[in-house]
Amino acid sequence: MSFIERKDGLVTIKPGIDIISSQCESLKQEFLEIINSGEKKIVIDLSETEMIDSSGIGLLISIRNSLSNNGGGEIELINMSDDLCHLFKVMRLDNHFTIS
Amino acid sequence: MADFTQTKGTDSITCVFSSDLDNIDRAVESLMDFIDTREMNLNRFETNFVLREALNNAVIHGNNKKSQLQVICTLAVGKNDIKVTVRDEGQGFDWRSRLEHRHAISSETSGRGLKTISDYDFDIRYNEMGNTLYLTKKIL
Repeated sequence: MSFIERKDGLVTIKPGIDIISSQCESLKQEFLEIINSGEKKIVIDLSETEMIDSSGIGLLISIRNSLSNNGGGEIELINMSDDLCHLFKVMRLDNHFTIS
Repeated sequence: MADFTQTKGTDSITCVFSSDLDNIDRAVESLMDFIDTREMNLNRFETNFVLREALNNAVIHGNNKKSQLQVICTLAVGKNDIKVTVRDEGQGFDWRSRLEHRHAISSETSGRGLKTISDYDFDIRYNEMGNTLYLTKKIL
């Protein structure tokens, strides 16, 4: 169960686990609940996430696509490890998410 | 049928497991533990990622997550390389086409695994049918 914080019109979700194939289904439900509540910007805190596999990447992209289809939105990824930042660069995804 | 078994030799480890997503985590943990017992000049994150991708492909795409179908994964450590073999019991796929078109576009939710494995300097080969993956990583 992810930690979710709503503050000043911003929702931050911290999965607290790796975003990998075995976890994607439950994480997807949590993200969908947030999107369906009308949020336009979602901050994902990856401070306790060491690994994101291609299933996890696919999940993040599908969330981004859902936000775009709902009239525009944004995902910001924060507290990424150096390894994950490098992975996003290798996958050429660093230009498609706000990473800080 | 065993849900998950592992067999260790001097220079290799083999995991055999049913096609459940949780077993991917168990297999990767076993394989990484085996690697950790060796003094190898390997990037731990990249190796972990590559093993996950190889096993994800076998479980999700090869065996369609049918738990009655097994995945057999062997990791062998050589003097100058590691070799990983992953076999599933699926119908295989057109790997030549997939390897030629590895560049997923940004909005696609899948199709990045093989390219990233290659970007992490693992050599990729398949058997003719496409249900056995052979990975080789040179160790400097």
